[in-house]
Amino acid sequence: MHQDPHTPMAAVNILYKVGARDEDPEKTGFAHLFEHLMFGGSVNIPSYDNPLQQAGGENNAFTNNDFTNYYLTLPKNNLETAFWLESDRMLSLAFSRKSLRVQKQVVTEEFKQNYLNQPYGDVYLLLKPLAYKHHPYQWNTIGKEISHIEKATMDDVKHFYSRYYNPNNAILCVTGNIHPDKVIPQIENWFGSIPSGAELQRNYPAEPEQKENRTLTVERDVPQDALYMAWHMPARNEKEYYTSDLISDLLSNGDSSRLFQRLVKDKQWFTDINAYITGDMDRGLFIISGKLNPSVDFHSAEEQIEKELTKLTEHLVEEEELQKVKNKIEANLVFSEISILGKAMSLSYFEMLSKAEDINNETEKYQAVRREDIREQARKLFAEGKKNVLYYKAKKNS
Amino acid sequence: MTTYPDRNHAPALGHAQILNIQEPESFTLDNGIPVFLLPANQQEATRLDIVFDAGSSFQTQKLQASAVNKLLKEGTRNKSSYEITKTLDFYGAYLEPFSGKDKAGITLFGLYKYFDKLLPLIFEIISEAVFPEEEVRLYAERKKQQFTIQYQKVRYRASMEYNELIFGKNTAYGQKLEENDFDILCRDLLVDFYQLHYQPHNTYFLLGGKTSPELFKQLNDTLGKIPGNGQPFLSEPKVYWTQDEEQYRYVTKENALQSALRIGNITLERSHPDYPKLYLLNTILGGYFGSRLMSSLREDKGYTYGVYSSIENFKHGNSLTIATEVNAEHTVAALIEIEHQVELLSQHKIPDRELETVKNYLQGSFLRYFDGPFSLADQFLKSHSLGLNFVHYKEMLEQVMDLTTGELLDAARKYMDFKKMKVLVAGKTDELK
Repeated sequence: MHQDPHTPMAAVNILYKVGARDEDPEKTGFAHLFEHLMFGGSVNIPSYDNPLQQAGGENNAFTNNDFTNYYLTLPKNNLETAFWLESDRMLSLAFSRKSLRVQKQVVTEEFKQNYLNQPYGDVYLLLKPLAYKHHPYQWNTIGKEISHIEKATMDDVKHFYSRYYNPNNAILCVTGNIHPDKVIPQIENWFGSIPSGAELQRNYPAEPEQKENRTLTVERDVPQDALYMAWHMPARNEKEYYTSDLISDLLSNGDSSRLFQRLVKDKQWFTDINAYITGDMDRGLFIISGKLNPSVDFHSAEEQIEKELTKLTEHLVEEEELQKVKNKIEANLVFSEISILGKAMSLSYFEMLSKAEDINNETEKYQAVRREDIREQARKLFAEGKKNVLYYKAKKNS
Repeated sequence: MTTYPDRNHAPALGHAQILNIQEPESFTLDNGIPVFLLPANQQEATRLDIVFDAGSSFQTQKLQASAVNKLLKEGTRNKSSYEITKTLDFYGAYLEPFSGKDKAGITLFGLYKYFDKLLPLIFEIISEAVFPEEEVRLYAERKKQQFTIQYQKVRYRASMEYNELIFGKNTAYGQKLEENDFDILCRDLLVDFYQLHYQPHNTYFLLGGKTSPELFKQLNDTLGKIPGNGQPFLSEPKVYWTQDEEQYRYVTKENALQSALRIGNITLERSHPDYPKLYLLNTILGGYFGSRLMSSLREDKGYTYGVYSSIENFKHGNSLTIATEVNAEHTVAALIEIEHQVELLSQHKIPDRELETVKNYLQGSFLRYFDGPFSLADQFLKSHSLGLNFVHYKEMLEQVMDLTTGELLDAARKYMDFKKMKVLVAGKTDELK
């Protein structure tokens, strides 16, 4: 809980610790499909959206590899409506056949709109299975293929629900203009009687250490060649996670970053370039992606990126440059906590990682990283034989 | 003790909360620039918006307004593009250019503790930008590349074509970008536009988040010194939009999995007494997740991931638009359903229960729009451009809450006529005529 007396609103965030990594390899896309079904009515309330709108509320949700997050804001006087709605769908869903049929169609359209009907839309559908051979991060939250969604049955849905949608697998956070004396009894009233589910044993297949570089070349009807490079990186709870995040910022956070300045502005090897991390709980990916200048071939483009990586593994970064990316991280944390909803989401996320209060130590963890750590971590990340490269070629005369 | 609450009934709703928004205070810098204040001192972040009458409706060549806006920070008399971006990045700040049909400008987000370090830089960007030849060329090249990618998306094609369809060809609002527009862009064009429109008599500032008297002084010592050219810009009278005869436009994209639909018309000015009715009708039709279009096209039929209708406000004309991307196979069925939903509004009174839901939803939405220092700033920018005060929203919400089903039926018959709406389809068009 977090209080803010300056707002007329309240925000509620519920995080369920279930994501795409918990899916059966033959039934992928399920966690995300489920997010849609959570709006199809619960055991005592036929419509989720209507009563929320009656209460002046607005809501949404998202699913990623590790968790599913539901959030809403509403005028503070109507906060109890949120508890009524959220507790009922935590207790049990209506499991309507129509809702399942329609949401399967909606998700199929989402698949087409964002992944197939879109230039470069299928990049992650290709890159992730290239980088992961065992761990469930090999598929995307939307699923491996549309057929997995189409085949989902009511039994699958019920099984998934009873396994993951339980109080012992959820985190509730309330922020805004609220009073704990009033809110705590309300939460106990609505959520207290919901039975816990079975304790979850999570054993995700570990990804064996990569020994050799992997490549994949595809040809698509797109205007420009694009290059995607991915390396495995430390998990969210490792100290080196922070170092790796800073490395991605040195390379590409802001227009003064290395890759943008050297490869887009000075030399124009690329028209666009980015380095980023997936930010997953288990070992995630460090990705560099770029769109090639039409006069440049893949070989030279990749070589230029490698050159920039070598600078990181051979030389120490200047103090000032390191301070720059640390300052940016600090500012971003401040910006993300401005709205009551942003606070509710962040607090839930840190509670999932360890405990909500840890959000206050986040800046320090980044500040503690030294220049030597950056070089050391860059050597580990970009070591020989650890690269996954996708060459995404533009069809000629298309 | 475990309690078992009554889950079959919704908890009683609380009292409706009053929308109580303070009009911002303001002061004037030495050079005459008005500064509006939306302080929120519980935050560590500060935001400064600098807004000029320099949107695309002022340009004599396509891309001129947006290119000037984007390239402001790519070089000044004394600083290179790299030095500027390095300073911004070092202090963790974001400088976001924005340009629309009427206004253009920049928003600076940063930590309060570093804000004084950034103001001298902003002074240079606003008053001493030089638009280096090389930066202009690079910009045009990159934008052209991005354009060719965007151009393949039915969504982008639809929005572009629809803009011309609804505002009319050769009008200030109906300009349509083409690939060769990028080749014409040059430094002289940008310098002309910059010198004419980025002037102190042509701007206002908005300062929000954490502020202090010291910051006001620092603002005056830097941006209060921006020199003007002393020649107020007088805009030639121009045609912002026309009513062309063309009503349907179909753009074919082979093998498209989805079709993008845009349907709408020029609609009421914000100051029109019936505007609140139109606003509420739009919300019912497609302005929120529980809307009729969303319930029917997404939740009932599964044709689409999303469908919305919205009213866009510009200084010289508003548009009402229904927008969606649908499964290509259902292009025709979706159009028929949209027509049906629009016509229903003029055929039957809105059920009381639905009207109550939407009114309550809007009550909450208005509170949300004005919640938090940065949302408040966003609302201020929108309304100030249209010449509206915050009290306008309070009054409009009160009017919305009093509307009756009879009044709405009359308004729908006047302003929601599908037969007068323009229709744009990009994607699968072979079954259309």
